[in-house]
Amino acid sequence: MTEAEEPITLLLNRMCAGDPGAESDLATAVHEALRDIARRHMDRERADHTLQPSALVSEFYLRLRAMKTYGFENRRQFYSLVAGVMRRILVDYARRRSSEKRGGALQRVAFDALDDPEAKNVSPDAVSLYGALDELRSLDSIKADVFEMSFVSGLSNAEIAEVLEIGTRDAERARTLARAWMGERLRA
Amino acid sequence: MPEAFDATRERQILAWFEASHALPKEDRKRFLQDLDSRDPDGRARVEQLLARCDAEATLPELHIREAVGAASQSVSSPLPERIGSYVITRRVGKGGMGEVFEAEQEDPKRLVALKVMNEGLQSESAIQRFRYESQLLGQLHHPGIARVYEAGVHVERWGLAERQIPFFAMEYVTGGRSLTQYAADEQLDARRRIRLLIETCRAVAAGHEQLIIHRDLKPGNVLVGSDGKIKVIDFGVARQVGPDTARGIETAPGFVIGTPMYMSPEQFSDELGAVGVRSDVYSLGVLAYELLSGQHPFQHLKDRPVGEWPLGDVAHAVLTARPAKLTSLERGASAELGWVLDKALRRSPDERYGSASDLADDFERFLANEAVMAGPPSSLYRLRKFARRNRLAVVGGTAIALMLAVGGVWILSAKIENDLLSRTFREQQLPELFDNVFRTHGIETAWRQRGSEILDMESLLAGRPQPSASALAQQSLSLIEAKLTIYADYDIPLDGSIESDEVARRINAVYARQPGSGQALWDGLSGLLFTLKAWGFMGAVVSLDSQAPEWASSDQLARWSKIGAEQPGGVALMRLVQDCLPLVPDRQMGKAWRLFVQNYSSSWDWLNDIENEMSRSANHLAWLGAVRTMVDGEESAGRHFRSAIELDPTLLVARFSLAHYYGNPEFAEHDPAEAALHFTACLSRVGDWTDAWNGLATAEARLGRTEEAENHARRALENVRFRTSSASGAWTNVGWAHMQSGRLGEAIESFDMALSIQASNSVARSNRATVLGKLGRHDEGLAEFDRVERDNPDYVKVHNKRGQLLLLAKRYAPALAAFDRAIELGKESASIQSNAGVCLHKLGRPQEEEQRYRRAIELDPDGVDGHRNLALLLHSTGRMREAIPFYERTLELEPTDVQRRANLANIHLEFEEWAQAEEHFVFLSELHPVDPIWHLRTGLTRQSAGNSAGALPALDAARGLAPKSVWVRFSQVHSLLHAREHERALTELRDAVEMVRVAVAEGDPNADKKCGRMKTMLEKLRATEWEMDPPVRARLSDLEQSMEALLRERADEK
Repeated sequence: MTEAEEPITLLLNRMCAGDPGAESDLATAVHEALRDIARRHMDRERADHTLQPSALVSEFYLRLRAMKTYGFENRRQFYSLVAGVMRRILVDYARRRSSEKRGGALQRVAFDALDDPEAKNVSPDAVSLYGALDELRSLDSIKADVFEMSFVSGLSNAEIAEVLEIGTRDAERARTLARAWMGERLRA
Repeated sequence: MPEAFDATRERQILAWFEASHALPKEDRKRFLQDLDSRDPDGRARVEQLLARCDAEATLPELHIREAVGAASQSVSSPLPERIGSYVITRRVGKGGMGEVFEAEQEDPKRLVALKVMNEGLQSESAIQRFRYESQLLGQLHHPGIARVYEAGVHVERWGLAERQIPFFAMEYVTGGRSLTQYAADEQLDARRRIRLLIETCRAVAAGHEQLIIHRDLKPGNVLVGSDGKIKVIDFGVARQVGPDTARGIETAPGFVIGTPMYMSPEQFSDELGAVGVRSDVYSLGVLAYELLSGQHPFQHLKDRPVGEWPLGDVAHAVLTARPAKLTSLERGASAELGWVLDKALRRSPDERYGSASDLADDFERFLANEAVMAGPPSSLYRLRKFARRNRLAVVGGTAIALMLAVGGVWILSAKIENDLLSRTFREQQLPELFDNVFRTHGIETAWRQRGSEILDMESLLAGRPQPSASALAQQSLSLIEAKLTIYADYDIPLDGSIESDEVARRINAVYARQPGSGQALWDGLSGLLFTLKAWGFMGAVVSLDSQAPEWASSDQLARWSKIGAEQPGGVALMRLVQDCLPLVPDRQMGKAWRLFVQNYSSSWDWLNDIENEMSRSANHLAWLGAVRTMVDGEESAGRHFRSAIELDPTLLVARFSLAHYYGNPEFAEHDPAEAALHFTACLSRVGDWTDAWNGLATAEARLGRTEEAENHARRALENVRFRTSSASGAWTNVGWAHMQSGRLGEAIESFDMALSIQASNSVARSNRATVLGKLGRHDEGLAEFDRVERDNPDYVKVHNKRGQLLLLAKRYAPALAAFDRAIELGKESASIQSNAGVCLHKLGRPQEEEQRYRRAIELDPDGVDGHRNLALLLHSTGRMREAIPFYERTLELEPTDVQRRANLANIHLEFEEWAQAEEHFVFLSELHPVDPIWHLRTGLTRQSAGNSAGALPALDAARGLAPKSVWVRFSQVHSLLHAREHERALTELRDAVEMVRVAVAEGDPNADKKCGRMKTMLEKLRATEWEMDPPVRARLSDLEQSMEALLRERADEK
């Protein structure tokens, strides 16, 4: 019982070995795992039905601790894969809600640290959020990556720096700028 | 949506923003001033961005609700051509759960309504459950229910994943209109509306009889066809989507099952208990209310139509508000109809009609001008409350007059017609009568008088269309309850002297009309007396009521035994119970005996004296066995039962007790297979023996036969008529089976059922807690465990289970404490020790951790957990040599444990023990022949061992399985070089160059690495050029050139 049996670790192993099929299998497995975690989150957080992507993803990583023992090196590739899957989940989730006609006030996705009173009135959806993120990526892909990692994957500055192979201070700065830029863009 | 996006402009702004952000405050100001002179708008933009950084301001909230508006235009799904074997003709509607199509089936040729769900089935267990329940739905035949012809799964590709979309093919209701629409179109009068409601209730009840709850009753799901008959559609369909939780609300992110307007309170809130039959009763109540009054019960709260309220408002109203009184509405609604609806719409499920049939019955009574079972809301409650409030001050005349007025309302619930009981009598005579009686005789006599008045009225009623026996029983019980409560409130001693004869007479009267109701009445009374602690009174009733023992169930006898044992004056009651025991129906005897003995005596000395005397009759032997089971000698208990069966093979009590004895895991002779055998023997004689079915289910559960256990627990439930501990046990077994098969939501429901019947059922409660833990609701689970421990301190299993939940919740220190508590209480086992070790691991105490695993291994040398965990611990702390034997033992016990085998092989690699490592990799590649990794690693290991010839076939295999993997290709080339196979190496490398080219073109983040590796490979090849023939060397040069070209392109691009 020390370790959960994770086919994901095996897939990672295969991906490290360069098995091309592993990546798509991995995406499927990650998708499955994230949805599974999300479901349990929704269950637990029945009171306010808040889905925090970073909480979700960090729990997912906790499950993947075996990663280290397998000497998984290509973390950036993996994180971008997870972020991609997360994006699909969120956008898909928003779309699906939209096809429901009944009010749909029950669930919301809240993103971390919502302190800005002014911004409270504005409520971007996953679709426009990712739209803005794509725009940022077209201007500056590093900032977009930093944003996605901090926001979706909940990585710390130090972790982002490590994954992207940049300095911690650079990561920190990129994160501040990216968040400000995204905030402005979504408010516009 | 944001305004148009000008990339050039935005890039400029971003650059300014970045530049200014890097500046110290002073310089920043200057920068902005400078910028302002050139580009005031740019300056404003940059300033806003900077302000956002400084204020630590972050992202606005993301509401999915808003997403609805934004994304809805972009989604429009085309009409599918066919689903399963059905040809879609048109879309009929779109609901929250899915879309409905009109479709044609080819064979047999018919029109069907095809309901296709929005949400896919997410797990194997969900698919299984869907299949299982679809079978149930398919078996549902009733003229008032639309048939489900087929429930299937339609596979839809969804990105990388597949979705298994469930669909239902249902009977097409020709010309179907919704119930409300039909009533409005045809301008039906109230009576015809009620008839349609009765039909609807009957149909819903038929579904309930098949154990299917509708969960989404609303006008749109009750259609009236062109023949004027109702058809309930979508029966049980609401349950079919979402993961394992079956509550009405929130079964998957974003999904609300059921239509809020018609949903019952328990579908909104956990606290009101499980969703069940009575949830449908509630929805029927809303439907009826709407149909009869033209309004929703909560419409009075707001101007906006309820259908447009946000879900939260509906939930709030359903959970807190009261429906508007129907009497205030039009259509000549009468008070009785109001009572009926009120009873259907009670917030607490327990207070509603017990079934849809009961609701239908009351509607029918109403139409026939008979007494309805529903009374005016809570008159009894008010009466009692009033009496309580005025306990000390009741002497005042006003108080009494008021009480009678309240009592007058109560009489009306018996619906004594005006012509029977004249208005004058009701309004003047009766209060006067009571008033007089009270003045002269005091309250006690007043109530006695009042009771007999009602009895007289009933005898008057006898010549009229009779109220049903169950209604009579209900009334009688209410009467008795009212009286006894008043007695208790006024501290009037409830000894046998008062009215026990009357009570006994009433029970007999009801029983004479309908034994089932008599039993229910008896059951209720027994519970009531228990609550009131009216022991003496109960004894008196029992002794007066000649038939009492006949319908005293084993549970009641047990309850009485408990009273008798606890109360100082209980001996008489014990005698009585003892006398009753032989009269208890055969099948209940074993249990009654055991419970009786359990509660009876604290000293067993007398037992030894009589043991010899009693060993001649099978009956007595069985009894002795039961006593021994309770007392001490489990061994002699088994002996007694077996001797009893020998003497009289037909003595079912003995066989049943023996089965129970074998089924008890506490006993040394515990043998579930043997228990199952004897239970089956009992059942072959008495097919509807609840406890035997239940015992069989438990034994099967212990034998791991999940499916049989569930089926047989359901058989037990079929035979349960009353809410007894047997019913609770059967639900526990059903829940267990659900839990085993991963149907957690249903498991919770079943355990809820078990607990609603018997709150002290520790097994059900602790299982419920475990399931809550699995659902991630850790705190609720822990609270349940606390309650189990409080209710039943002897149930030591709770500590281990609590530990497991805490472990799951990652609360390691308390988990460890719980495991240790279990060990302390004598429940030590390998798995507990192993789990304790896991806690210690998480707490970073490796030495203690190690001890625990070693202890686990000692306790169970064949247990895999201890070995595996110890191996992992040793491995992770660098004690690799020591880890080897434990890995080996783990693999002996579980040869297919891929990870552990890989770990072991890695250790061997570490020590350069190639042969051992190779052996494991070969094993793994044979175990998973299509997984290239194990062939690759076999090959690499052989390569490291210098066995190039052996390495090549393995690497070839890996290449075959992963033809597009550059890395596999490189490993293979590496090997080929060792084997001096330059030509083949070149061929493979040429492919590899192509792959690298593709990687570069596609922006593969690994492209640089691949290029680098490619270069190294080529250099290695070049180093052996002296061995090559000229043509081969030329090919190498070609390859080098194309690689260099690729690298140049890449450099230029950068």
